[in-house]
Order: sequence, then structure tokens, then C-alpha cells
Amino acid sequence: MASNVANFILLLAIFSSFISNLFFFKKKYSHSIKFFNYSSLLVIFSFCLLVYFFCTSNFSISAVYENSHTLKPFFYKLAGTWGNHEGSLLLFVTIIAGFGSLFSYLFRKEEMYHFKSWVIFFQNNIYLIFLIFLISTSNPFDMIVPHPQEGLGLNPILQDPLLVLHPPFLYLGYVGFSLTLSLVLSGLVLRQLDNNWASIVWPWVMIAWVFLSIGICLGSIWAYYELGWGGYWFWDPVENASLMPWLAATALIHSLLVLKTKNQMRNWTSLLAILTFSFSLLGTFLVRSGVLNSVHAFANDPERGVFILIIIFVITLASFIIHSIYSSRTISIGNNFFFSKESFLNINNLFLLFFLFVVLIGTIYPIILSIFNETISIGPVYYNTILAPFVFIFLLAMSVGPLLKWSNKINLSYFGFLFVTFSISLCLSILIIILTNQNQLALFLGLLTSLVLILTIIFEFVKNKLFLKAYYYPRVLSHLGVGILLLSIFLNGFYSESKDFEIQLGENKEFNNLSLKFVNQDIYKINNYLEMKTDFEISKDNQIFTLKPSVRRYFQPVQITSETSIQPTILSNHYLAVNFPNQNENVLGARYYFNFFIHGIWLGMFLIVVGGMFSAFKKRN
Amino acid sequence: MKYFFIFLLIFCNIVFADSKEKRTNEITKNLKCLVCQGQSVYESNSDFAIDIKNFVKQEIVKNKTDEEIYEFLKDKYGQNIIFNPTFTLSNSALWIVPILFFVIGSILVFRRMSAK
Amino acid sequence: MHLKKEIKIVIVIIIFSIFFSFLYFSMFSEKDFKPKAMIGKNLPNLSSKTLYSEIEKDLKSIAENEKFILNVFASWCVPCKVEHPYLMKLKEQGFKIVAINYKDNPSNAKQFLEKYQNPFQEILLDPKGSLAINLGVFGVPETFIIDNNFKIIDKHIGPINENFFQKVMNIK
Repeated sequence: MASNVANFILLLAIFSSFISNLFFFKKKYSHSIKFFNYSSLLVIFSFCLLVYFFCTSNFSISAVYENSHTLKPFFYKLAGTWGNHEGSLLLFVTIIAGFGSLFSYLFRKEEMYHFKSWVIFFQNNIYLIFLIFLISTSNPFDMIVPHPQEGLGLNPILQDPLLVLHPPFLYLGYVGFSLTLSLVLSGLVLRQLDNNWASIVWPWVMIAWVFLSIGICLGSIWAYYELGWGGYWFWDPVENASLMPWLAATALIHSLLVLKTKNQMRNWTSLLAILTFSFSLLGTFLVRSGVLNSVHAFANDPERGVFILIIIFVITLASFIIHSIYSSRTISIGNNFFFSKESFLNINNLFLLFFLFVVLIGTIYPIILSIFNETISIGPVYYNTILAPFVFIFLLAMSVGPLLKWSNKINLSYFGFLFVTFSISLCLSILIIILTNQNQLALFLGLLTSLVLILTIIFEFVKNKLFLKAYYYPRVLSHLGVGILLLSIFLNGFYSESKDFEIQLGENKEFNNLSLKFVNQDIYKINNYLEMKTDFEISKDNQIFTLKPSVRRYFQPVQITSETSIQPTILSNHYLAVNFPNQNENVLGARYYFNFFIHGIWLGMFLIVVGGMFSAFKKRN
Repeated sequence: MKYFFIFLLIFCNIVFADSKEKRTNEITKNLKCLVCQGQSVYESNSDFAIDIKNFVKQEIVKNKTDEEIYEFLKDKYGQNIIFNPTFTLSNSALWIVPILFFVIGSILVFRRMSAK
Repeated sequence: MHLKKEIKIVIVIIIFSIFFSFLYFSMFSEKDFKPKAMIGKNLPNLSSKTLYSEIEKDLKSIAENEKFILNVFASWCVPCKVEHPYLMKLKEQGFKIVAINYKDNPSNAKQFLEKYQNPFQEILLDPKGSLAINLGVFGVPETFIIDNNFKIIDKHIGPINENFFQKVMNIK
């Protein structure tokens, strides 16, 4: 019964989406928009139904049966809705529809009604393709007969509050860029890609960008606290899949800036907008098709993979063809002056796309080689080596760029200004290097360039009294965030320490100026898992604290998860993870991390996101 | 452009010779735990990873160079045990293509800036 | 770039087709780790104490230039119990089987062999897993087929199944 109702609603949604297309071709634009909105409401309603089924543990629905359990806390029942392929795809479709409807509701320029109907038309078709895919291959409302009494449960590693929020934010970001695509395609077709268009697009790009950034940050924080590997970013292909659209979108934002103020770079900006959504789709493909063997990958199903691939092929190819047909070769208004804002925004795009390209190659290359029966692994070392030198130059360019003026106007005041910040940073980084006795060029350059960026922004902020001008907040905050983030990454990378050791109950270990004592061990059996809780007493510099890491072994499905214990101090984290003892020994393996400056990483991410929020919601002038 | 290459060379040659443990960590971070999902040997607690860690420690005590250790493991487990693939013909694209991308990109950007 | 639109579109289509066909084929390529790095290579020189004699013995001298099967096992490993009947059958077929006892407690290993019978001619101890690394072992159980020139002809990861059993029989 429940299943039939839900399926009927989905069919109705498809039907009304078709009608919307029909009206569009008959040039009845207001009807077309109306029917798109009907369809969108129906899909949103069906998503609510699925949430309801999960919350009430309605096991006659297969997705609920496979991913939920009556004993689960309410919060995780709710999260089960998007913790599986079918449910998350429904969320995906719902968000496409939601963004379309939100746009049709908020965009009320009567003189651009034609433009609006084109946007809805494109959005409707992206939505329709995914909706058909949903119903034909991964219908979340499939019925199970007879009705089972109990569900199979949710993957234990997914039972974490951060991970409940991580996917919806990521999708809001990924899928939010579908509206950017619709906007750019309409702009191309109607030949309205100009500064006016750029200011219409701006908030929508920023919103999606903010959501994507939050999603990535949540994933990173989760990895740090839950995986027990002491790190926050692993260059895992699935992480890369979310980083690629983020880099593309960041480049897009900067080139939109040029389009908005100078009415230049139309073709390039539209190309970037298409690329951004293409990379979102590529990410979706990588995660869902089973080409990756990764921590986060969903269940492997090549048939679904083929479908997704065809969809992505159609959407991206169509977009690129539209772009090549309608892009007009603009006569670029020459500006010979290197030290201008435009040229530095160009340089920004060059670097961001280079980073994107490195991540793309690193992610795709092993997959492509696997066709030829060759296996290679690409890990952090590759990315760090190839990216680091470029990141340093990027940071310097980032310090200079915002100080420059548009076009040919020369602004000489920044020279002295930069000289001061550069000298201070130079002294500071040399001091740090000498005091800590870490003579490494990479650390030195990293410290120098990130300090230059941070100090330049702070000086500019104070000197030009930018705190009085809300207009500058987004840029200042997010650039400062990038500076702090990278500074912390360098510090964390070079000053963190870790120690692997084996320890028995009551034993005491000493390393550096830290002593660690294993004082207590308890083993509990809780309905679905066995948990070993441990207490460690740690003393360092006359400070004593207790860390209580634990480790769980889930029985169904069998999986070991680690609950790390972290003691934060002002500048660093003491991080401890334990593992079950090996066969017939009382000795258990533990790993201690001294994570330096990890707070800075979270702070940097936070500032980047807040900057984006300011920009998304600031009043348009 | 020249400077990028110099930078790159310096980076590839940074030698972490501080202590034996640090070297072990650096090497095992660069080895993939082949029986795990997305973990390095350094991060993993599987039997496989523990064996490899012990092995690397022993080899360092025996004064073997990093290259010798990597070569040995590559011989036994195949190329994909190393996260940073060694420079071979089929891998060369990994370095050449991004650098090429950057060079072409910068030419385009500079041409654009000087275009009248 | 001053390309005609038609040419541009053709280029876009070509690039897309290449890229997407790569992605398409990659979905069906083997991604299970199929690490055959050791196949075709020579058996390394390995020696260690044996389970029953406490004397250090050399693997090659045990093999004496005969074709033989090398099995890596441990008493704590569950799949090893699954494959055990196959090892017994191979022994009955007259195969020479040498074992490496991986990271095990010798008394547990003895118990294991008493309980399930002993198919092995000789059992080398590998308490630290160092022999295993020299053989490129990923985990227990693993089985190698080695010819009379000490060359590794084939290798199987995981418990022996019917398929691999037939393969071994054919080599004979």
C-alpha cells in the first residue's frame, strides 16, 4: 500500500515534468514553470514520505528493510534515509527540483521572464533525466512481500552524527551547481551572458559553494575523529571527487568577478560553470559506479554505473555542444598591464585549474591503467610533491592580487606595504625554523608564503579600515581562512609526531617528554557490538590527563570501528587510538598522535565558509 | 618556468634522515596497505601492515637505502604498493601532463593579457 | 583560437567519447587486487626453524629440485580450516607440500595439525612474518606451486577452491 502510493506520486511527478516540457515547446511559459513546480512539489513530498517510512520503520519498503532496524536511535533512523544508494538518489533529485523551484519563486524580474522560463526548462530536463533513472534502476519504494518484521541495520561506520549531516550538505553543493548549469545554458542560448547575468548567477553559485565547502569540512572532521588514523585528509579518490567540483567552482567565482565588474571573460566563465557541474557529475559517477575501491564507495553495481555514465555523457556533452554553438568570440579589450586585478584573477584561474587537473589525473589515472591490467597507487606523496611548489606561488599571488586595481590604473602604495609584510614574514619564518631546528626548505617556504598572505590581509584590513566596509568581508574572511588553513597544514605536517606501540595493562611508556600509562581496560558486550574501553594516564610538562580511547567490533556486518580519544591543548591535540589485542596475547596495539596546530585547520575552514556565506547573502548593489 | 622545475627537484630530494623512526614513518606512509581500503601501511593495524612495518624497521637498521627497500617491496608485491609511483614510461604522464597543462595554460593567460 | 564551430563540436565529441569509453571500460576491469608479482620469479632463499625439529632448515634443500606446493597457514586463521581437506587430497595424490606457519604459536600449530591431520612434509616457522614478506604474501592462507627449477609457476590467494585444485592436478 505505502509503496504503491509513493510510486504513484513519483509517476505523477514524471508526468507533470513532461507536461512542463510540452508547454515550453508550445511557448506557454507560465504553464511550463507551473508544471515544473507541481512536479517538484510531488518529488519533495515523496522524499518526505521516504523519511516518514524510515522513521516509522516501515519494512515493507525495501530500502528501509535493507538499511534500518527498529532498535536504532531515532536520529539514525532518519539518517538511514540518505545512507543508501536509493534514498540518496531521491535526495539528489529532490534537491535539483528544490533549487529550480526556489529560483522560480525568488527570481521575479518581469523583463527577464523569457530567461527564467529557459532556466526552468533546462533545470526541468536535468531533473527529469535523473528522475527516470531513479524510477527505472533504483526505486527507493520497491515493495517487499511478505512484509519482514525486522530490518538489516545500517553500516556501523555510518552511525555518527557528523556523517549524518555530511552527505546532505555535499549533495546540496553538488546538485546546487545544476542550477548554475541551467543558468549558464539559458544565458548562452539567449545570448545574455553579461554583467547583469553574472550578478543574477552570483548568489546561486555562492550558496552551492558554501554547502559544498561545509560538506567537505564535515567529511574531513569526521575522518579525523572517527577513522583513528590521525589525519584530516587522505587524498582518497572519493574525497578527491568532492574536491574537484570545489576547485572548479572556486575558479568560477573568481572569473564571475571579472564578468560582473568588467563584462569580460564570458566564454571562459560559461565554460567554467559547465565544468563545475560536470565535475559534480563525475564525482557522482566515481562514488556510485563501483570503479573505486574506497572507504566511502556505495555498493557496486555495474548496471547502474552504465546508466549513470550515459546520463553524465548526455548532460555534459549537450552542454559543451551548446557552449560551442552559442559562444560568441568576444573581442577582448586588451589590457597590457600585468599588475592589474584582471590579470591576477586570470592567474588565479590558471592555478586553481592546475590543482584541479592534478587531482583529476591522480584520481583517474589508476582507473584508466586498470583497463590495461596495470595497477598503480597514487597517494599523498604524489599530490604533495607536485602541488607544493605551485601552492607557494599561488599564495604569493593571492597576497598581491586583491591589492591591485582594475585595468590600467596603477596602485603604487602596495609596494611598500608588501615589502613590510614580506620582511616580517621572512623574519618570523626564519625564527621559527631556527628555534625549532627544522631545517627544511618546504617548511620554510610554506611558512613564509602563508604568513605573507595572512599578514597582508590583516594589515590591509586595519590600514584601509576595511572593517567599516561590509563589501570586503567575504574576500577578507575567506582569503584569511585560506592563509590560516595552509599555514596550519604546513605546521601540522612538519611538527606533528606519532608513535606506534604495544602496551600491556599497567605498563608505562615514555617517549620524548611524555609518559603514558595504561591504567584500565574493560570489555562490554552491547547488543550489536563488543566494545573495549581503555583508560590511559598521560603526563606531559607537569600536566596530567586521562585519555579514554575505545574500539568496537560490530557483529553484523562484521566491522571494527575506533573511537579515538582526544585531549585538546591551546596549540595542539593529543590523540590516542587503540586496537584489539592480537591473537592470544594481552598486548594491545595503540597509536599516539601529537597533532600540532590542528585547530588552525578547522578555523581556516570555518573562515572560508563564513566568507562564502557573507558573499551569498550580502545585499546586491 | 625554470624555477618551478628547480623547486620540484628540491622537493623530490628532501631527505628525511633525522631519526630511524622518522624514516620508517616516512616510508610506511608511502606504502599502500594492499589488504585494506584506502589506508597506508603506516595507518593500518592489519597483519600485513604490521609485517611490512617490521620489515622496513629491520632494513633501516641494516642501513639499506629507501630505494633498496622500495625496490624489494615492488619486486614482491608489485608496483601498486608504492603510493608515489616510480617514474616509468606508462606513469610519466602523471608528471608530464600536469606540467604541460600548466605551461600551455600560462601561455594562454599571458597571450590573453597582452592581446589587443 | 579561431576554429569553426563545426570543427569545435567534432573535437568536443571525440574527446568526450575517448574519455567516457575509458570510464566505461574501467567499470569492468578487474579491480580486485590480483597481485601476481611473484609468478614467474624464482623462489627466494629462505630458511628457518621447523615446527618439529628446532633445527634451522633451508627451503630449497627441503624441496630437492622437485615440483612442490608451498602453503602459508596459521592455526588462528579460519579459512585455513576450510582449505585443509584440499591439502589432504593433494597429499594423497602424491604431492609434496611444504608449509610456512605464519605468526603462530607452535603449540597451537601442533594442536591444529593433530586435530585436522598433517598434510605437510615439513613446516617452517615464521613467527615474525618475515618469510612471508619475502614470498610476497598478503595474508593467510596462500598457496604457491613451484617447479623443479625453483620457479614459482602459480599462486593462489585465499583458501584453495575447486578451481585451483584442478589447476594443481593439471600441472601434475
